[in-house]
Amino acid sequence: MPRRILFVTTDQQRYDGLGCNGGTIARTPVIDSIAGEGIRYTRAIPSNVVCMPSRSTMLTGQHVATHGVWMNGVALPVDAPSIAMDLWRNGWRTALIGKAHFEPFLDPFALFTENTLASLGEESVYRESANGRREPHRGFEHMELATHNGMGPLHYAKWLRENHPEAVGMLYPILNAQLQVNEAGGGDTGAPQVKHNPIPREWYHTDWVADRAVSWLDTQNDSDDWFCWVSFPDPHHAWDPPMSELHRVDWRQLDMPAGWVDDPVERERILATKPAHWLGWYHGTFVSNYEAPARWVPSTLTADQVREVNAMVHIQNELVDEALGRIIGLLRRKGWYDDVDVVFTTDHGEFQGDFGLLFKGPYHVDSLMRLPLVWRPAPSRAAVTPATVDTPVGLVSLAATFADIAGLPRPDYTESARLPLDDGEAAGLGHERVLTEWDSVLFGKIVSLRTITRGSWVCTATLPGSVHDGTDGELYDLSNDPLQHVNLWHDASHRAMRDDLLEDMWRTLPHAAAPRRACDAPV
Amino acid sequence: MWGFVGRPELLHEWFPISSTRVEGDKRWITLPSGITFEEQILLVDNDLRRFQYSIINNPLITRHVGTVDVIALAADRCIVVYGTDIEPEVLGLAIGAAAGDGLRTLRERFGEG
Repeated sequence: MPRRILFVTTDQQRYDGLGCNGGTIARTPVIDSIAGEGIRYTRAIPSNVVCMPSRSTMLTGQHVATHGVWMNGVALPVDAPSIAMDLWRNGWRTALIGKAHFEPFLDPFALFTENTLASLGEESVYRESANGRREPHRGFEHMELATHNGMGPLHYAKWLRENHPEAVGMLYPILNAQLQVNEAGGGDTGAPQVKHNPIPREWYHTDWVADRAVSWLDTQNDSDDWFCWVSFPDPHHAWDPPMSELHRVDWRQLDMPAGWVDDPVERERILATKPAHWLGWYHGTFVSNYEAPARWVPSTLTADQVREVNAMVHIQNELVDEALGRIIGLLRRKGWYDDVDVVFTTDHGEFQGDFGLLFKGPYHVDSLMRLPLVWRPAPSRAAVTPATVDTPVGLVSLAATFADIAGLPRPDYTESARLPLDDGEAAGLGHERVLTEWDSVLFGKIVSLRTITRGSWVCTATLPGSVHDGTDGELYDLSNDPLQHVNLWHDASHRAMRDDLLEDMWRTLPHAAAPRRACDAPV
Repeated sequence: MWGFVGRPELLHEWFPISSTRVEGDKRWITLPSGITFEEQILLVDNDLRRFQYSIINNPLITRHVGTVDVIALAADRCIVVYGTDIEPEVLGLAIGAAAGDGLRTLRERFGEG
């Protein structure tokens, strides 16, 4: 019986964006159905809350300290471990369709393979390995790549330029003329990175990714083992879904998210209880990274802007779900679906109005760290009782999970066991804690965070940097404070818990290699 | 080393660009991505072993000075220092990556010394 893995990722998607996780706006019946047949993880956590480090963890099964991709713009070495390579070496067909982002996007010198494939007219490049065998880039023999807009060197942009050049300018320009993240507002409320996009739906990147995935899958043989990573760029900003779809969600009808604090005085009070980079960013006095517009000041965010951004995200989530439905439909028509393990997740979350903030950054709270994760094991491979797993698990477990599905031993390079099938199995596999790291130095602003999630506790230590002396941090009791409004770091009655979590974190966090790898681009 | 690095028309032999054209004190370089930069050669100082140039007439780049210094350590040893001052500042990261690539090429071409 062939073994197949459909690995589906979105980008910057919140846990509560899916119906199966309690979302009530976006209709996501496809992923909800997959969740109903498999395992739904209620606390899945990334190793980092921006794209490149998190995606590198998915591929390598390693913490950030080990794979060394400490921030966007730091390339994963070409010879880094890759579960896709392990599968390819074992005879699997391998594809990555959509957003890769193991290498920087801003690459005018075309130094990185991802940015050269489309112009070369290639679907991969092959290099000679240490054993003399020619092997595809990161183990993917087929790559068709996309990102959030129609500019640049990737396959989607090339396709759009060649087939629908009039549409290239319809998508929101994520960077402005100064190459900073664009602060320009649009839509009905002037919210940053929102645009009413006249692009026809079938030209939008979500449907393009599904089209290309269907095309590749359709060429596989009945006997092939395959690993297909379908990586949708949405619902990451820009928030510019095809305007033909805006009828799906009327932003004026949306309630404010639970994490929004309506009273600005109370909002500032809550932010002031957190380490200084929180309130500094809120007031626009401490912009430390490239993950949000440098000139946009979060304290100017209005309730209506939050509603409109959220409406756009809900629409993007619906379009992803429908695109995934087309891929699943093909698998059913081919009679393969029962032989396919489906894993669905994202790389990191998004504030979407929580704490009066948008986008992401050095903020280790549920908005950015609690991710959707669903695994439906192939029924023909394993009889699994549908379950909900509440134990914290990390995306660092994905590589070992894929190896397990393939019947391969856990690769030596991976740093976590496979995902558990239920809570009872979690402890035995070693799922006791999840670690998350942040390091940023852009604009000369240095912020470093180390976080442990264990049980219902999340504890973040700040390291010495531009606004921290290494003594501040965050401690949240998720069971009593799900919105993370009460920082217990300095609370004497929780000192023992804090210190125990910190000791656990420092003991288990891998040591980062020195010197740190170069950052070759802001993104 | 300076006899090579100090010749502006040879940049494509060590920097990751596709082509170089020099006319007087102007240089045009084309990147693999197809982008062409027009540059003003500011300084070729054979005594200091310093080369300086500036990207000009570019709607995106509002300020730029690039400096290459070859510093002799011994008769057969030197270090090459590549510096960039640019606005938008984020482009400095991409140029830094390219310079790193170029410096590695120089090291391979001239040996570890």
